Amino acid sequence: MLDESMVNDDPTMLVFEDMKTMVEFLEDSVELLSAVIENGGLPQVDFPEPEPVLAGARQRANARAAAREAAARQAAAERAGASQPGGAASGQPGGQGGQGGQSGSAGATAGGVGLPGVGLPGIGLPGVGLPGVGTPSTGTGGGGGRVAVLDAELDSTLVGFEDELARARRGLNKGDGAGSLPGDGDVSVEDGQGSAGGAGGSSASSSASVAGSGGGNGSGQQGNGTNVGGGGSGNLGGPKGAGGSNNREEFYEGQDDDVVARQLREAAEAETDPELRARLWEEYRNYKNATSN
Amino acid sequence: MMHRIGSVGVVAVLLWTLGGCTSVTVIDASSTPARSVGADFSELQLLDVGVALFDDGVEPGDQSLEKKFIDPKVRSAESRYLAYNLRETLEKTENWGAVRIMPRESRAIDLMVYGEIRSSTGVELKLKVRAVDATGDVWLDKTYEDLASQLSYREEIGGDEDAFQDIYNQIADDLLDAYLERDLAAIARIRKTSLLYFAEDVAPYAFDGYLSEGKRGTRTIERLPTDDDPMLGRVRKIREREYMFVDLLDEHYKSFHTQMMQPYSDWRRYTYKEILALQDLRRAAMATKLIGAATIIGGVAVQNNAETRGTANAGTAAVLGGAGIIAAGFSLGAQSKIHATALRELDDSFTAEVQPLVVEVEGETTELTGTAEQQYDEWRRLLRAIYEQETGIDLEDGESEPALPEIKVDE
Repeated sequence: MLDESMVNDDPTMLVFEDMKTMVEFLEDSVELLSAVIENGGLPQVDFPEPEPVLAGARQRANARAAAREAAARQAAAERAGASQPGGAASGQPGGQGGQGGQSGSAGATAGGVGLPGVGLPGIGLPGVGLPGVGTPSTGTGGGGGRVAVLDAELDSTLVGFEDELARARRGLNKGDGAGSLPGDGDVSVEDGQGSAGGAGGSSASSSASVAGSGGGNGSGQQGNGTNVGGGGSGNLGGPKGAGGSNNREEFYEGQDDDVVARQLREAAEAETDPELRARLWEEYRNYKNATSN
Repeated sequence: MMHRIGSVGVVAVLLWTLGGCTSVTVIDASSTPARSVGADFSELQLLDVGVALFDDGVEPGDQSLEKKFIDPKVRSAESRYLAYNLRETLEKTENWGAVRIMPRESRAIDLMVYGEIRSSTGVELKLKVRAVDATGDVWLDKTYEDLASQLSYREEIGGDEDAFQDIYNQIADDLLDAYLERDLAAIARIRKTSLLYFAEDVAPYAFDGYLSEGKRGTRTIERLPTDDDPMLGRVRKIREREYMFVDLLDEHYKSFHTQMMQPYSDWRRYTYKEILALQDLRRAAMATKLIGAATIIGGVAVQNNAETRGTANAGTAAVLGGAGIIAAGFSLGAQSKIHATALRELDDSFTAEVQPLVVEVEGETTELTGTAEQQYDEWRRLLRAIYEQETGIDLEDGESEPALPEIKVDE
């Protein structure tokens, strides 16, 4: 129907042999466009469901750990496939390989030990894994990497538990009668008069280089006389408002810290140089903001 | 003649009774310190000790509790307070590793001490104590008893020391003796057993068969993992957190102990006075009644054997006098009820003050324990997954023999 000699000169133009083919193409395009619109412009990726066991800080920690584990599992499977030409007997389509880049925890996987990375899931490009007949990634062949991941997760939960105990102990020592391991509960603010923090967004964005992303849950802390109640798991948000007290570190007492945050906090607490100490706390807050999602 | 012998016998019994009432017991106001030799021990020689909350010794539904002036709520508070007293005493001796109060069972402890309150008033404390190590060996099974003196409650003499500190010191000394009876190999065995017992709990598939249990709850090491066994390393890490968790509970009980100390000391001091007054009055009432009864019996005997009117009249007078004395005895008994009432009021006042503390520490323990148990489930899941990865054994299909290296115990 179209004059080929006319369209071949323009590479952006499409050539259809007949009307039926063109209609089919248009239908497919509309369908794809609808799918893109429905998914907010992004392809849909199945993320592992966090275990709905615990509430509060531990729930979030576990959710992150589960996400890390799932991502690491994918990465390990990918490595297994890559290291064994013709592998990937699990038959996972290459497209799923893209999830390997979803989380910063891949660093922990690669290192075997060390600090698990953090970061929000990203969208990987479809991979091109070759189908073949190798060892399943969940079998003994991939056990070493998987064990390292599980060990890292175990260490992470151990540290998390330590932190929770420390928080409970602080609650006991403060004589607030709480002394319990943190559970649900938002940060409650009493008698605050400073402006709401609200800087979470900016902090989060500045921390993108640290953690790869940041939701900027800027619930913020309030001004003078604020009290964090109940050891709650409220978002740390951004820096306190202008009216904040000098001892602002008290609001960052390891709530929901992971390994990295804990080390930053401990370094900040131990640092005597005020300038360096301030920078460490800043890094800590940035990191917390970035991971608060 | 028979009647005369009878009356003399009654009088003899009476004198014996009165004599018994006036016996004097010498009680030291201050305690003899418990022995301390632990400074010479190396780290490997130290055993971690757990002191379980004491059994309050109250049988549910026991109708005689009120008659015995036993308030279950007071006992409930005491079961925690007294256990902490023992824990503090043991810690101060420095003969042991960590000494902790144990509101819940834990397999991570080398030596557990259990106590039961047999009697506890301001005047007397009686405890039954049993100590068992991780291998199930019984170190101690003994009842201890101590009496307080008025001096114990005088602050300028007794100070902050518990009125019954001697009991705790004696228990500490007995435990030390039991420790010293054992050689280093036995101590090492206890430490290894507690580690394996804990490992068996968190990773049973990996440590199955390392310990065997005897009929009387004894545990014997059948084999040992290597020191660098990775799974054992993980178990050790978890056990460290168990210790930290128990330490946190211990701190709660320390706080409870501190808050209860003053009210409990006051309660003991006041009950001491009331109990002694009550005992004195009851004893006097009983003695008076006996005197009255003896007088009546003597009067009747005189009447029966009277050969003259005057003697018979004297007998009658004795009977009447005896009745009067008995009446006086009943009057004393009535007075003792005032002290009995005072004791119950003291109990009520004390429990009103302390019960909220008990509820609080119980609630905190329950909450913390529940959260920790969830964490333990998570760790168990992870250890299981690691074990499956390391060995290639799918535990869902049934547990298999552990593939980890083993060495035989070299006894």
